[in-house]
Amino acid sequence: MTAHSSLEEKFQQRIDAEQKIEPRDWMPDAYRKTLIRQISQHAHSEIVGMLPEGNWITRAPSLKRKLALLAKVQDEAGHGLYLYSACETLGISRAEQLEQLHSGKAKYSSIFNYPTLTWADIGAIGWLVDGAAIMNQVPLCRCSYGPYARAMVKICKEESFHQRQGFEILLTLCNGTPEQKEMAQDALNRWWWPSLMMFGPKDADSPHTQQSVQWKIKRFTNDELRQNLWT
Amino acid sequence: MKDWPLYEVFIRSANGLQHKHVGSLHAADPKMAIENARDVYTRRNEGVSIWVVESKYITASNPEESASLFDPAEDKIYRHPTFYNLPDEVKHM
Repeated sequence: MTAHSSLEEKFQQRIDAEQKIEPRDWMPDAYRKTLIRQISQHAHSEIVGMLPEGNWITRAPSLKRKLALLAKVQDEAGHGLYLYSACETLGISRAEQLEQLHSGKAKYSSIFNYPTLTWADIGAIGWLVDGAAIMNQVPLCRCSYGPYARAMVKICKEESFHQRQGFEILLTLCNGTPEQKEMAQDALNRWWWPSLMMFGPKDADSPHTQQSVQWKIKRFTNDELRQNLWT
Repeated sequence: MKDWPLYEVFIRSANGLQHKHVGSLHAADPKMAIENARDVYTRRNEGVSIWVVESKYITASNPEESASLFDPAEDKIYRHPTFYNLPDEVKHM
């Protein structure tokens, strides 16, 4: 057995024993790479997610809704920062992460490219998009990489207000005029499918899932999580 | 922002408790680090006091030396009260 494969075996044994991996511990290059890809994608999604919602702050229908949306957008900025910091512990600088976002090498969740046509879309995003994100994020609190798991604990604590305020926006519209009801329905019609697609490609087409589950970066596959949101 | 140093952030959640490491952030100077830490880590009453220190000033133990540093404590069971037998007659000690 080579020295390297024995390191990898020891690493997997630590993972199997539910030990957390911390920044200065030895880890396989592919584990580091996978985490950088996933955490930076996640951080970028938080930041890009502020754009459509930030657009609605000045158009929120009441002071209460304006305050809630401001707080939510500020949370997203905070979540992005927690995650950028967690990613930096893997040896990639903040500037490199941003360069990769700008060059297109790093991705962000394509859900934020859909247009937000009416105020009801802000409700649908909070309820469905944040709802799907929570489904994805709660198991990540148990991710094998310590800094990522700790960031996710903070994020999940803050995320549930996002979902509730979105649900309340839609509920208020549904109890309103026929036009408001129709606005809510239209938003749901447009957002439910993209929300389900947030979990990524189906398992058979997801090249990273199996290894990520073995390393306990992911606790569930894309399809398992998608099914959880639905049921 | 590219050259802003990294700061580690420590928050005291209530008087009577110690400051605890909560994460890190970039800032141009310590004053900005405190201001950013307030916005990033205490949006929901998580703290009453903030410490920031530039990450480069932290000296950390090496994980590869963990065994020589920490294993020696493992077999010193006589450092725990349960190592010592007391007769039943002694109710509390």
